[in-house]
Amino acid sequence: MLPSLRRGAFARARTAAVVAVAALAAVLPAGVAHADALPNDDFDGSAVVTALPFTAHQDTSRATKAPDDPSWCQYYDAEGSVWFSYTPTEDVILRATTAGSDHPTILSAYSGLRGSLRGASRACDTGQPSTGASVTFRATAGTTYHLMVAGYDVAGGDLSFGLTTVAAAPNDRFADAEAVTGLPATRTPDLSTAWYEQDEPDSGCTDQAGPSVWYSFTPTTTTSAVVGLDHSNVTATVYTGDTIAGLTQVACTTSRWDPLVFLATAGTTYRIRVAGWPDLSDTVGVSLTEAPRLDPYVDVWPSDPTIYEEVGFTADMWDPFREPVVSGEWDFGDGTTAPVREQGPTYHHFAADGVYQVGVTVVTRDGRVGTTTRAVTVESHDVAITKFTVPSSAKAGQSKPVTVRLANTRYRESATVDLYVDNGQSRTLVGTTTLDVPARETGKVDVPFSYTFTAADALMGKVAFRAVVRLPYPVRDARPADNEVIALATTVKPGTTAMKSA
Amino acid sequence: MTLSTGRRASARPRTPLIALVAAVVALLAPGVAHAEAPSNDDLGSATPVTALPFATTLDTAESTVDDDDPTSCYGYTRNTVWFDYTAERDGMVRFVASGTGFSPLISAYTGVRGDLDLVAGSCSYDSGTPRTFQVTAGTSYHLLVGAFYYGGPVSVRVEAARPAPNDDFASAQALTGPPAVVEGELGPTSVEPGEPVASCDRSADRSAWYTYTSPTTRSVALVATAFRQPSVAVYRGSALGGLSEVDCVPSRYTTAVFTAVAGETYRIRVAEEAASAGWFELRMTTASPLRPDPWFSPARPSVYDDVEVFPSSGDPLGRDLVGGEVRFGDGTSAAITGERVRHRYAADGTYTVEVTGTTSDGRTGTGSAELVVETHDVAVSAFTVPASAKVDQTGRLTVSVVNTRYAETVRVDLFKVVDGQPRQIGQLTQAVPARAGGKVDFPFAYTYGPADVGAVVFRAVAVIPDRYQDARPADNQATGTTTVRAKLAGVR
Repeated sequence: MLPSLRRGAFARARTAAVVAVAALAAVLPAGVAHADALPNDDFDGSAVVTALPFTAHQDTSRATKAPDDPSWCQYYDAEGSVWFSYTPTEDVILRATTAGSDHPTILSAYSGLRGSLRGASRACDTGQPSTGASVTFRATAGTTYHLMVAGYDVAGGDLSFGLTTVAAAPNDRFADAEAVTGLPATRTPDLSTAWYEQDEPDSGCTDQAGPSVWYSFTPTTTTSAVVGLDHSNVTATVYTGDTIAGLTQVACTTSRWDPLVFLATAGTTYRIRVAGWPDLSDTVGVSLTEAPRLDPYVDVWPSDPTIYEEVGFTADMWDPFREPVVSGEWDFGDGTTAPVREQGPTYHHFAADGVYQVGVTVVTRDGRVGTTTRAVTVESHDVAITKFTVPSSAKAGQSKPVTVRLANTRYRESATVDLYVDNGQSRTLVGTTTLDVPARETGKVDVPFSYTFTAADALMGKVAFRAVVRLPYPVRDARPADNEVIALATTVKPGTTAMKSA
Repeated sequence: MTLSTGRRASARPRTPLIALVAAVVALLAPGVAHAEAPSNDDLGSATPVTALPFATTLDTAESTVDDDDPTSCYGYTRNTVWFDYTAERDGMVRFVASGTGFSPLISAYTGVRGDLDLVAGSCSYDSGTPRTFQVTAGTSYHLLVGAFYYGGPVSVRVEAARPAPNDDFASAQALTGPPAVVEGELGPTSVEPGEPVASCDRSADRSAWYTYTSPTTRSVALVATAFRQPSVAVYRGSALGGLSEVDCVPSRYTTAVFTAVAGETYRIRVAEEAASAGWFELRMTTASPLRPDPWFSPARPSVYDDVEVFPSSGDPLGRDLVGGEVRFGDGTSAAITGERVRHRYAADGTYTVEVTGTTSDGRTGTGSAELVVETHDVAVSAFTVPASAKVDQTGRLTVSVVNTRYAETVRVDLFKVVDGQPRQIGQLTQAVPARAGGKVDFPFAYTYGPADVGAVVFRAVAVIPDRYQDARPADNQATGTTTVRAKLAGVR
């Protein structure tokens, strides 16, 4: 477009523009293209739309761009622009389109005065080659909206322009909420034809007032219901209550990756609001489904428990909704039960070895129940060193017996005994013996070793024996405290006499 | 004036209008080449604006700065060009410049060259174009269009401005909601005679008015968003002279909030200084409910502590509680008055401390927090040291620790005091069961040396390592003294 320049004409500009526009309005609907006369090339010559629906066909190939064309939508690729304007007499939703044009277009709508035009919320589209550009926006009675149609990388071409009102979404208002019966259900509301209404409630997930549609859901049986979204910048909020000003929030989500889940009680009506951010003008997908059942499993620590420890039990599960566990019960299979804790393991002490069927029931905040049972084997393997016999004195070169006595009461074990000697300078493994130890209430098994004292031992003067008994992996000794013993030191003297006698 | 229409447009004349422009250019400034400065580069050759509306485009790429160009709007304005306008009548003028590829800077002045006064509200440095300002009949205005960095094609318009429809108190725009979002313009507004001075914004000289009447009593929040910061004031009253301020917030970072009583009409004033006045968005929402969230200091007190309760309002709008009550959970309570709220519990336990509070805007909410009162208090009941000893003698020192409430792990540190300084000589950690009348002994041994001859002072300190502090540290220490004699000569 080009600036109007005749200074003297400005005093009369308003009148002149109206005359020009009236002429254009009369001409355009007839579909007559006037390649040379392009009065709506300039904002001040904007084609005034007086009645809807409105369509125009125009050759805009000579359209130009003005320094004050607004840059709000897409400025740099717009090569030429033409203008249309419309002033609704009541609040409406307007939809403008360039479908049918032979060139790519950028379509945007504004309010305000030339030089400080403000883009109408959601009214900017750079179009698709096949469908042209389309904007849908809410227009307020008495406000003039200026629609700029720009060529995308071209000045213009054979333009088809349409402007019409569109009906609001049928469930735009709380009072017109669509009742959803039967799950699963999927809906695809067009939020470009929705808006907020008086007393629209807050959502804990957004502080934006944007377009919204409403659903209601009254389950016949109590269930855990899930609301999922397929779009970003959308909030789903579930309320209870019968009037829009008297709603209580149940749950909300604002993420397509994080669906909301809530306990839907039979006979209660839930109000589901699907709201977009203020500038959202899209069709969004929303689903209402039943939550999959919980499938908990039992974690036991340690995994090979004994009667000598507190055993920790945790009910874990993969819950896509990350709802907290609010109640539940453990049944340890030995006649005792305990409540499930919301966080951390529940500890239990088994008094006797055995195989226990440990069951758990968990209930999440949204009312889902999960249950499972796991067999837990309690086995207390426990060998003990009950006596350690070492010589109180010896001479270098002398061999003397060392005996390790073992006791074992529950299971026949294959035990390994290691004997070490430490003279303060070196620690030496004297011997290792592996032997079966029967389970007997009062029986004992002596494991014999022998050690020949050295000159180095004699130089130090004292050595200490240490014995350790161990069980083969994966058997774990339940009480390691009695599996190791260090004797009082043995006095070692030089061994000349002993050597002689030998 | 040089009506250069921009290089691109001039290079590609396509419509009859271009021919018209060319004719005007030829008529007004014959022979002006594109590469030269515009004819109105200098204040002395300003383009006259003889009638409104006025519009033109020109290229300021070659325009220059004069030494006496004013700096009162912006100190480094470049590529300046001038227009002169003499107002025919009192009113408001809207002055707007739009550049291609750059942001124009505009301002208006009265006075004469070398002594120019910036017209209030005409400088676009703060809020961009357009600027709307008051003009007086017969006064000449010098309109400056410049740039921050470089010039270029620019469209300039000067128009008579219509006041904003809600400029006057009497023509306030009615709000419905919440929620509600309305846009407004402070540029074409003024402060009318008798308009109240907002307590939070005494310098505003542009204002727009709204009214709000709610069918039900409800709490409403208002926030104005703009490039700069309009203030929002809420009034009760029906006439300009009889308004009483309900709330006033100075900027977009705080929210006005008030309780709208059913059927009562409130007057809402959005105001700004002329220099920053422009477009704004006013959002009305239901005020967030209060969620009082008390906290405590110390966080885990004992029965020997005066615990201070901070009755935080938990208000997303940041208002403090001005009234209400703190219920301590032990049957006692205290009023919220702004003074510190302190309480001492008589017994250990977990208490639910409840706060019911009210903000000055009339919102009320209740919230609670659990407070655990736990008194961990061990004491040194006896410290036995040998009354006398000889050098090389090993003596036994015993620290007796008592504990009545909770089983504790207690560490006793034993010090010898040398020249007034404690030097640690032992440390023992033991579990101490909670028993009335019972005690646990912590034995130590010490061998006296020649340096101890005379007297040696020991100090024992019992601490609970898992706790930050014992509830009564005063009874956790004891000292004892041994008189030490030198070894008798000949004794080995």
